Amino acid sequence: MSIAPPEKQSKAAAVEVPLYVPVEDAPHAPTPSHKGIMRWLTTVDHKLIGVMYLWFAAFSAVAGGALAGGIRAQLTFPEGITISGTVYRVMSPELYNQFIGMHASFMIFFAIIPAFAGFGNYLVPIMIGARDMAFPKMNAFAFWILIPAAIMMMLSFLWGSTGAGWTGYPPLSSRAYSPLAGVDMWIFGVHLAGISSIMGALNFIVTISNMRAPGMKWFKMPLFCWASLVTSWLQLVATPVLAGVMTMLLTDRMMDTGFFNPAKGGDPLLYQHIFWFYSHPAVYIMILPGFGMVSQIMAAFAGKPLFGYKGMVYATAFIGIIGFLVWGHHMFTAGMEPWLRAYFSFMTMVIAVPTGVKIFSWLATLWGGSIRFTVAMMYALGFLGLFTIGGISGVFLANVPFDVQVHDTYFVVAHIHYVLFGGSIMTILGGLYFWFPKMSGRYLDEKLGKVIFWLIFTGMNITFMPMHWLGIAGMARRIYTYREEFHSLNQLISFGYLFMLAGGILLFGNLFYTLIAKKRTAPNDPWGTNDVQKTFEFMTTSPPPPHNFDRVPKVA
Amino acid sequence: MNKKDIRALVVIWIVGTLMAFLTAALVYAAYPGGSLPEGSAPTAETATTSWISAPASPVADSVRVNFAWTIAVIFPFLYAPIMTLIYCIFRFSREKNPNADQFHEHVPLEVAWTILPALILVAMAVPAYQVLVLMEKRPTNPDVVLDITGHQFFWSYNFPKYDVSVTDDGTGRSPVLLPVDKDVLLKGTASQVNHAWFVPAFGVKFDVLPGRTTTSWVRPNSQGLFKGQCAELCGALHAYMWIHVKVVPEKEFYAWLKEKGATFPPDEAARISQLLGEEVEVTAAPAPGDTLALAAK
Repeated sequence: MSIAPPEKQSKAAAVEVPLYVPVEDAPHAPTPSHKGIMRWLTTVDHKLIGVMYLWFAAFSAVAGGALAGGIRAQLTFPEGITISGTVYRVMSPELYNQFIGMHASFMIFFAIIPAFAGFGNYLVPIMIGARDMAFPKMNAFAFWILIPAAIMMMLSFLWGSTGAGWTGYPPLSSRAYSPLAGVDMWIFGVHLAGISSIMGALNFIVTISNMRAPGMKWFKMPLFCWASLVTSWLQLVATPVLAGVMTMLLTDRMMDTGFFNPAKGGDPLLYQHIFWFYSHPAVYIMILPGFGMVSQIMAAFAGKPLFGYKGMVYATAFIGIIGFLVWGHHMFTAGMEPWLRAYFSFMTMVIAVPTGVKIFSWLATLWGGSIRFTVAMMYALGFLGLFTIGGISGVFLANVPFDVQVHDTYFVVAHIHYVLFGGSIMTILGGLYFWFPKMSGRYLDEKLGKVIFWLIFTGMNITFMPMHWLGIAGMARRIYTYREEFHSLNQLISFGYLFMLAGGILLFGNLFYTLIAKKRTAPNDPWGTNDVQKTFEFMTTSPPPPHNFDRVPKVA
Repeated sequence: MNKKDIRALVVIWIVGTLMAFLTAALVYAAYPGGSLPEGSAPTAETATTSWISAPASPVADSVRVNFAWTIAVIFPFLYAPIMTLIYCIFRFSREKNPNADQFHEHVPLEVAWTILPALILVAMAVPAYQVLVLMEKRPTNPDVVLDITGHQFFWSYNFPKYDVSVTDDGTGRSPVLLPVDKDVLLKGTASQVNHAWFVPAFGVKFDVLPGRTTTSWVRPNSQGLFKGQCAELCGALHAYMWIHVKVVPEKEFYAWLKEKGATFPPDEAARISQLLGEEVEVTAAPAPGDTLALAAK
């Protein structure tokens, strides 16, 4: 990347609009050495890699969604379907346990995290005015290593997969109780995904720290870049811990090391501590980038600058730090010292405060605004409502006596889906509608988009709201069958799944149709939001040229 | 933004808070707790399993009350933001409000919405910690000690003091018995993989892990059959790993133990025999001073 000589800074806080020329005429545009499919396979361009991340995440979400469909099918007919006297089971209990483990693993490691990596890859270098990521080849490697990871995990179904859930607690995941190779493949899948995460995180940290355009001070970065930075630090610190515990599990299985085997002086509880030391920050890895995206979408379509930018930055950083100190709240029933339960409960409540600051700041951004109800904005508004519900149920879970009652029940399932579906997925879909014209030069259909939004929003609530009640009523989680009294609510939940399924199918139809049939018509600023919120990506062409900017842009 | 909007905001937050109180009151009233009425002893099929609708121990009952309190203090932050959001959607659309305000900072407001929720959380935390203390207050001198062992995929129990072991076959026909209104110390471990002993009506859920002993306690205050379930994924038949606990009067409890071949320790034998209405066996527990006399005979 070439760096323009520092120039005098004017006092106006506006962004200088650089000169742009279309990609074909760009004098310095490096011509891609390959065409067609080879161009995608050999590229180190952060934009193409970002798009590939997004497609990868989309197909993983299809796989994860299909697994969820299997789970719902089983829970709709927990005792099987009786046809002329013969009972046909939907699936065996062993397969059901594999479905729940794989649903979570796919959605977490291959759908949500790569989706945010995709947006980050595409947007962060452009938003900070850089030409590419700091390490383009490592960037490509981080993406391509996800493919064998996902294939390995999917193929593990042939060898029994992980029947111990995505948390893979030993001894159930040890060789004695899960003898097939599926668990090992699952571990390797997680390892490869972890390598990808660590490389991506390093790349983001170096890029954001060193490659910001002249004049873009830390507190002038768009909030999405801040969110990516904090997320990357979380990934960099936490993911090696996951890799460590997975390796210990692997050597326990392969070489009888006995880290978690009580007969050899090991301790199954040790696994839970190390695992959650990663997996709680992982929750923030899966939501903080979404916070950043939603902040920008909301400000853009409310016609108002984001309320409390600095407060938002501090809240993001604070959540990132405290996120490392609360892992024990996943283990309130696992047996720990009384004071330790009190401590983890306290820290969990502490983390609710910056989260509250964010929700209030978004509301204050909307207040007095002039809201345009584009599909992206509808997802952002939907996110705000749903994430509030997920946050409030999270505060309830910080209350130890209540948590002990609903731990490992459907209340927890409801909570994480309000956070990861109502939170992460809504922001991903909002970001997709918002930045799709920038990435492709084509607009997604807004009318169809609204239909899809309402299908997904309604289905999401029908599916996950009753789970709160089931959990309080005592329906345990990860069960293959359940007591008769829970039957009607489970039917309702499966009905809600069908809404989301319809929404998902229409969304893919919309994507393919737009990419094939529609013409590139999107201008530099596809939503006309530059008068509200100036960010660099809306000052270059749609899609941007390979080198992003003909002249290094600067913040004046 | 004008005064009308500010007024609406104030109304929203007051209504949201009142709605939260109302929700809490409704939850509290709908689930009054208290011991189950006589003669309503549940069977295996209908066994009550809920800490909220049928709490059967002081801990479960405290959690029920604490739950309603938590709703009262936390739900304002559920209702009011969502109502504010809905207000914004209808009031601040481009049609209704073509010219957006441009304010984007208000330090006192930001400080307020950082401090105030923190204080509200204290209001949630203090009673929660009181219940936590109750949950942690394991009896130092329990009336009964119950050793629980989780297996793939059933539960076995041992009364170490009486040397009685029983196994729950999962059908409800062979429940483990506990005396009503007595302190029971629960000590759990597992033979193969992790499980969790979860009886909602008792407000008890604790993981049992191989190689470790975890503890909890319960003082059942209602009679009946209480159903629970393993609450930690333990393998294929996890969903079928039922728990059945029957809470009975003390007399019935000891009669059941005796039927199971219990040997009662000397310091309790007399009291238990009396309870069961048997002849007190004088020789059962010779007093220390009598030892010589007995030997001389």
